Amino acid sequence: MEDNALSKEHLINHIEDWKKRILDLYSNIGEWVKDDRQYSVKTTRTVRMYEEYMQKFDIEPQNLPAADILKNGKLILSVKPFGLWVTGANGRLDILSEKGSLILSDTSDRFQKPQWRIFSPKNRGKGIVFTKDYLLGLLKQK
Amino acid sequence: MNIFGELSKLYDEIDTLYAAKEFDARARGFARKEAEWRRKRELNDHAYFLFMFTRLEDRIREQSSKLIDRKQTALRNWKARSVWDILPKEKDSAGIHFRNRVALLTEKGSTDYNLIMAYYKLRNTIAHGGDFITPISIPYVLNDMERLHKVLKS
Repeated sequence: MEDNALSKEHLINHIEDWKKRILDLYSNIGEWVKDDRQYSVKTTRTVRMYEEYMQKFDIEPQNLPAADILKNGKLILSVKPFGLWVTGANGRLDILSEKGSLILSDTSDRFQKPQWRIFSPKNRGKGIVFTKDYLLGLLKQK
Repeated sequence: MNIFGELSKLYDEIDTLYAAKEFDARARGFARKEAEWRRKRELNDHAYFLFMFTRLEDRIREQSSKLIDRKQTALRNWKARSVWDILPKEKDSAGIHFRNRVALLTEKGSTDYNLIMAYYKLRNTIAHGGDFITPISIPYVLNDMERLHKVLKS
């Protein structure tokens, strides 16, 4: 983002939008897994957000929810916000597991409908659209 | 495998290991350990960013110097050559600012020019004592740097 196009108000709006997109994403994830009783989603734990722009414009740190996906009560995946103002994405989260990390990025333009894509070490290019089928496939591997 | 391919492989190995440890700490409820591993991943991202940027910077210096040298040698008309004659052709010369070297290889104000300048600004923030607080997504950066390394030619 160009510094001269920024204002505190703009940044706050962007943060609020980010929070909403995250919550909507977790809501979708909850919907996708609800038919299989083995799985449950918890969003009780948070991650601190205090990026460079926030410090520059004196915006208070924010606590963003992380989503833990459990299988029969055991944590198997954790979806954690990584950053909003990240090069190449309109926000990024990490999907962590015992095998490492996948990148979940919103590739939409600012304030547009989210387009979530998964990027893995073997697929750094265009990524894969993050869908219910993709998530269920990932969960089956755990 | 080129340097970016090697860096990518190495980065992935380390980030995968650290991410798995971050997850394990989270699964065990060790919040402080989890935060430590997350911080290690962030610092690792910054380190690899700096390493990759040095490769790109070297490429820009090399190609811009080649271009200047070629123009100084090839242009017979002194009026056409004069603007090149005042530029230093040595790759490591401080007599030409980095942004001007970039402007010799890609149009000033273009997407690639602006992208390189954004990375240059970030590189300076980190290298000159910044707080390592900017989240850097290495896979995107890697793609950008690899592409720029290929397209920036004299």
